[in-house]
Amino acid sequence: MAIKEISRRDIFKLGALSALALTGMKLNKAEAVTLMGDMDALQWGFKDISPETRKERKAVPSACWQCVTRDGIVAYVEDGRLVKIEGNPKLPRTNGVLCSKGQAGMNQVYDPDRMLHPVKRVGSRGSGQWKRISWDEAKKEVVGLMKKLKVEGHPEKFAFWYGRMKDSTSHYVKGYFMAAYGSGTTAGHTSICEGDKWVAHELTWGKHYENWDFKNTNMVLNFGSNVMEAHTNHIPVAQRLVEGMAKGAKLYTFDVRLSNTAAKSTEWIPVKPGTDTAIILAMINVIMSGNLYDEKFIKNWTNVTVDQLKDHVKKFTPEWAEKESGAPAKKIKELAIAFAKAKPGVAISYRGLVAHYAGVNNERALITLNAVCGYINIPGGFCQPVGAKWNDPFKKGFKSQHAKVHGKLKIGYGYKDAVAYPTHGVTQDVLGVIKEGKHGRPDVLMTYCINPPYVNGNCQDNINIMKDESIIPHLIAYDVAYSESASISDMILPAANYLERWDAMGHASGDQIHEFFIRQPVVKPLGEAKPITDFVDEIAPEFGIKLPFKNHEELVKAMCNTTKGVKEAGGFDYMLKNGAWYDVNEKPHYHQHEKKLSEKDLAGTKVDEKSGVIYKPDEKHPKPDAKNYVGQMVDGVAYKGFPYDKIDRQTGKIAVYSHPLKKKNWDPMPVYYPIPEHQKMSDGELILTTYKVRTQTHSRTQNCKLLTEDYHTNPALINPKTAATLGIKDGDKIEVSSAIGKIVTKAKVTNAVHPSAISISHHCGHWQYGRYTSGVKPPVEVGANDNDIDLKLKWWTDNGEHPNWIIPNSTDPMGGQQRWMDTVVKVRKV
Amino acid sequence: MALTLFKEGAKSRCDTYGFLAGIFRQELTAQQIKEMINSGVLDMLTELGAKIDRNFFNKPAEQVEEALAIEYTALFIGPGKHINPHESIYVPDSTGKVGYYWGECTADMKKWVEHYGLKMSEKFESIPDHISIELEFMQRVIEQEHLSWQRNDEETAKRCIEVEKTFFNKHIIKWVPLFLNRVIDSASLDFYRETAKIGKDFISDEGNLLNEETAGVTDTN
Repeated sequence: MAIKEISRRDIFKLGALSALALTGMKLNKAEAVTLMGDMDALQWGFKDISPETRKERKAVPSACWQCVTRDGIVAYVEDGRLVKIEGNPKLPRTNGVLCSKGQAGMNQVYDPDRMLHPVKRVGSRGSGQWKRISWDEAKKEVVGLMKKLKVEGHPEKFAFWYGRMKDSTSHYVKGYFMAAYGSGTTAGHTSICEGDKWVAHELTWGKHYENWDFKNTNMVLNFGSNVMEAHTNHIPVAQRLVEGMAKGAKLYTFDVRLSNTAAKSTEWIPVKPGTDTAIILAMINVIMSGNLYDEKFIKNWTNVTVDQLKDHVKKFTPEWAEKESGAPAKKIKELAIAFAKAKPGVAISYRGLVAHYAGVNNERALITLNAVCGYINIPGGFCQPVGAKWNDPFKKGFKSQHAKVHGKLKIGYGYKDAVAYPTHGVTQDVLGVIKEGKHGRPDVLMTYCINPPYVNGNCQDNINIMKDESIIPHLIAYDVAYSESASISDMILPAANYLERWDAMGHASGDQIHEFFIRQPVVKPLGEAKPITDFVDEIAPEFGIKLPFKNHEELVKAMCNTTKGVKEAGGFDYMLKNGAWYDVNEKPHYHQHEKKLSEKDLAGTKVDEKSGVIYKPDEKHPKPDAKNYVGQMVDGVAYKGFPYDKIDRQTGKIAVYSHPLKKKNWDPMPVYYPIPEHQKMSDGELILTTYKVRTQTHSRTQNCKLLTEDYHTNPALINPKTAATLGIKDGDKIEVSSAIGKIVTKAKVTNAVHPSAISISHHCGHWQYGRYTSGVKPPVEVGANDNDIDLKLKWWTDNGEHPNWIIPNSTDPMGGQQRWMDTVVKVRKV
Repeated sequence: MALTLFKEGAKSRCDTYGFLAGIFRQELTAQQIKEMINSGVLDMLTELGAKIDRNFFNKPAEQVEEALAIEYTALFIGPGKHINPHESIYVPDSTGKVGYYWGECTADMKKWVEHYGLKMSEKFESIPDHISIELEFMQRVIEQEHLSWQRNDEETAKRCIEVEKTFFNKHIIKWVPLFLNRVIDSASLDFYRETAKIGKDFISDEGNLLNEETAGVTDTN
């Protein structure tokens, strides 16, 4: 080349030359310029231009609810129609990033098969014959049923079973209305997600939930979490994991299946289902026997000694773990040593670890692995979460209005004495418990955005019980979609979806700071759909309940205007405009347990000599317990420690030794519980596992055409070696049968699954929920119409198979978790 | 470290894209040629290593204008064999078809322009994947980056860098070096040949900057 290569230094010379040319030669002169206009769109978020009309669209900051992560969003409205959703860059936890599910949220609003009107059945339950009724008629009927129970002195016979309900909506419905009406009979859905994980947290370190500080870590050991595709805090953790890995962090994934997370890992180590805990215990053994542990942390912040731990784990050798799990002993040793030396590292888990028999024990082993390395509450480690602390100025004064007659049917916590600590409910057994009747039966069951026939195991049992009027006399569905559950109810009330209503919100920060955000309506509810909080406003006066606010908007407004920080930033007006607030100067919160208590904190407290727990006794609670915990003494210093949550742990330290578990005759230390069913398997039997993909949630996104076009069928993943022994080829029709039934599906022969398993995602095979997912058009009375032009473009007819037909409702007796990963099946070519 | 490179270099990068866009947009006028000489642009080009025969520019400006206009026409307009300044002539579409106007990359280029709130000037009679539009698009984005740095808005600056990187990899790198090579090989006058050489080195440097110095700055692949 005649010219010397341009160096970085020359760039500035070239820049100066160019600047001179642009001005002197007028190369940039307006009339000669090729492109016109400004580039405000580069101001990330809050601005969007219609490509057709060039009109600026209205930007409304709000919050997602496609999954429980609840990303901050900015929704764009053009001529009254929601046309686009992006991430809100003003909320650090999601950082302006939004997954495909979130972007497809507009399909929830304009789903042609969406519920738009209240309807009442006119045929037998489940006959599909409906009559459209007015909201006044619907309200009259619901209020009539509820009044009757109230008059009879049994408000608890009104049961409320919810799926998609959190934040101030939950507070509104349960904390205000249900409490004032007098029924504590509620049930949630956590046990079909990851309930055992939270029970383990409460047993081990107090408050449930954790944040994995990926962006500051050096190494991640992943036991059954598909964190890159699905998580209860998906976008915050996934993007920080990517950031951490870009900086050099290594990710090792132990999983039955080659998920996209496993594929993106430094290494995927396939394991036999239900055996991860053997690996975790063996790793603890390697770390303890190799003196690689954090002695100070174990001594100060666990309730066991180094010697106790060493002695306890010595039987869990890597060679034994290899025999159980299939993971090579050499690899287990190598990774255990690397993990202990990573400083910091973090061991993580999800359903792959906990949706098993004794899932609580498994998660306790994982926390112990983090604890022995001292990776608790440190940058790059396993951290107690930090979330919004909203102020509700109405709450205190309203308590006086709580109903005098107040009862609760324990339908949400499993069969009598079946579960040791069902603190996050046993949703899969709600219908069975109602049928059994030992905890009493509700007269009226209202379901809110939950779909029991589809989301629980043993679909047919759920359907049979729900259709039986002698078991559930009155069944009301309050839902956005004509779901499997709604279709067999007596009455359906059309719910506003998340883009049409209010919430004051918070969730675990990815940066360990307090982040506040709100949901505000982006568009008006379609048709006659109504937020449940509006319904509460309308029926509350019928029971003499005077809510202290006019409506949900007023509650959110008051919370914004009285919460420290949000108030000073501009309160409600600021939040309407920006959607989120956080203190830009707030430093990340680590080492929370090491916060020293002040004299004020310690006033009126006592110290339990045996445990060192600091507590504030009163008449009702004279001894240390979950209600009066204040802190923990360590070497004569009073610390905050790890506060109790729902379970009395008898320590403010990490309870590696669990007194509550001992009390219920479980091993108090983390051990290995082989899955009972897996010990009795015959030749040719396989273990059925389920999983999630990036574009769908468990059950509530399949009506979104953009998502279901991408993912609508779910062939069963089967290893080539296994397939060969069964004479199965890729694409063959196969029958998968368990003790409770069988399904016919297609085989996907792939090395991406362990030879002992057959894996089927649980998003497909809806038999209602609209045409995009089931092919079934709901009755026109509910609002279904053919106006969506894309209905003609639906090119797929294979809607997949739902595995829950053959998975029994099988509950972990420790924590109530639905054991999704333990079902033994037979597979044959059809 | 990488962010500092961007912060310090934004103004220079922005102006360089603008300069190159201006050179390839249309023929230079006599007035522009005069300014190029009088304002020292030509001297600076020489300082950067461009081998330009100053005797050519010592002729009357109208003569230089005429000669450069003939060269511009021969190189970029035709008739006859010329170097087409449009991306779709160089980059195959998804079916492998290449060498025609208004291809997929042209449509994509139109989307980029419109998405970021810009539109084609009615006075410019060409199609959206013209070399000058692609270079000017980069100039516009980097200008926003520069303004963001000036007001300490790191978030928007990083967003701009993401857009620069994506656009550069999706469009510029796919054909601009090839285009410039052809100019270098075919130009009969120093000016276009030497400017193309400077442009080629600049684009190569841009590829390094945007793809190797963005770890931790952007997530874009």
